[in-house]
Amino acid sequence: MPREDDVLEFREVTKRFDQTNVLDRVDFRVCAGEVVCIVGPSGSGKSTLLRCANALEPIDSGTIVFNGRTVGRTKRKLYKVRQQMGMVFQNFELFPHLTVLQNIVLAPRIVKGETESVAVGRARNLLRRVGLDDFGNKYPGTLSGGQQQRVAIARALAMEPDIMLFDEPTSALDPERVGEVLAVMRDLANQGTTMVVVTHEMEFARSVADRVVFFDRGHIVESGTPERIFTNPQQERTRAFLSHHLSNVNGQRSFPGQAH
Amino acid sequence: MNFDWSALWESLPVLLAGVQTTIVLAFLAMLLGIPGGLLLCAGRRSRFRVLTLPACIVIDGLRATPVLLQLFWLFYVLPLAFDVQLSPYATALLALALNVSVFNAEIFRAGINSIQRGQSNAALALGMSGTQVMRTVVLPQALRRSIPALANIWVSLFKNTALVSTIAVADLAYVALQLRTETYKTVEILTAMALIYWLMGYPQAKLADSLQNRYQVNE
Ligand SMILES: Nc1ncnc2c1ncn2[C@@H]1O[C@H](COP(=O)(O)OP(=O)(O)O)[C@@H](O)[C@H]1O
Ligand SMILES: [Mg+2]
Repeated sequence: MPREDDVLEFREVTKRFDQTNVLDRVDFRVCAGEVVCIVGPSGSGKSTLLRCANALEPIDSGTIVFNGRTVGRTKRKLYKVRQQMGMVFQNFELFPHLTVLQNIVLAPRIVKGETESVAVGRARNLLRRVGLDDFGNKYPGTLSGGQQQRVAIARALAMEPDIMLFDEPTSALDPERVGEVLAVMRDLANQGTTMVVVTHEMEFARSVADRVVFFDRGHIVESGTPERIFTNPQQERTRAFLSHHLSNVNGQRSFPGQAH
Repeated sequence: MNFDWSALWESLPVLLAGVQTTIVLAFLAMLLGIPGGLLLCAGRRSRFRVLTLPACIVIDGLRATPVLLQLFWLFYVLPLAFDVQLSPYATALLALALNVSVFNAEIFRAGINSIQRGQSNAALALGMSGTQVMRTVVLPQALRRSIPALANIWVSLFKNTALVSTIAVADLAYVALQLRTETYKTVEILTAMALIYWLMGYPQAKLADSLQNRYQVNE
């Protein structure tokens, strides 16, 4: 049943690529302040799930409800929805021709029509929050991957979204850079940000998520508290998947840590 | 054989007037060719067939035919077929501008395609409209990447201006060839002509090379 405080809800959402159901009647819901981590094998449709959420991909059937409203198909409405969802990509996707500060203020300025001083003021606060106070005038190309990803997080936050979507935010990073990005995300989670995080960082999922979703072949196979999913998975497929990543969960790996 | 180089001194004012026409013509053609190229490129990339079709016809038509033919076509066929009579200068400018527009359009298209989809996605995910994404994210980078190729187009445009002498526009080639028939000093005039073109063209070619290096994309 829909609840009052649902921020995002998928109802029987199906998405096809070339006749295959990449999302197969997915029901999925995130409520305000919740941190949901999605884990699952590559190619299972996790990115597609996020990209459908903010309508970067159109869905084939089903309904997506955001902040109590069905996500429509008209462009104007889509722009509105996307303004209220922040997205962080595996490859950062900063705009290389703009400085860090310009990257952050661009959308608030031209989409929301904020004044320069308001947008810059917030951008500076956000840069401090992600630990990059002095980086405003640098170009993305001069930053490490971890720094770029933190800027990308600040850029998404600058639109003051109601939900943050992370698509494997640390997968493209050098192992020694993973921790700094996860620390920023942990901080966001602690401050009550509603988050959906696709990740292979099991330790992060275990310690930060309110709920962990195991996703495979376009289905949610299993969903529950980190405790339940990691220590007592009900489904064979979940168990098989986690057995590969188990070392990450049970502490052989120190956080912030090495690659798996 | 005796060469009479001093005769060149007398002709210098005429030659320099030709030089001026050549430079102004090339400059104006490029000035029109950049917005023209953007327009054709936008047409070609449009979702609407009424725009794609004419853009493709112009691009594919002009890319595959000699500039000389385009020039003659505008000069001789346009008046007969459509009763439009332009001055030789206007015809020359139109032909050159159209021709560079077509090449510029393809350069801009390649530039736009070279900007990775991920960046557009990121911009869209921030709530920007397609137009905003194009204006603030894709085009600034695409245009920057187009600079070396545009410089090469400029270099060949500059040399192509010599074709306008065939419809009696008084550019450097025209005045030089006129002088030759008037004075019969073929060696002197053609040598001077070659030297002047080279003196103007060589720095441009070098500049194009250095732009190539400066704007080399490293990803
Ligand atoms: N634009 C696309 N066109 C065709 N197939 C796609 C496209 N995007 C994703 N897919 C396919 O959909 C499936 C799920 O992809 P994805 O959502 O990226 O999985 P994950 O993020 O879990 O690795 C894959 O088989 C992939 O090849
Ligand atoms: Mg993915």
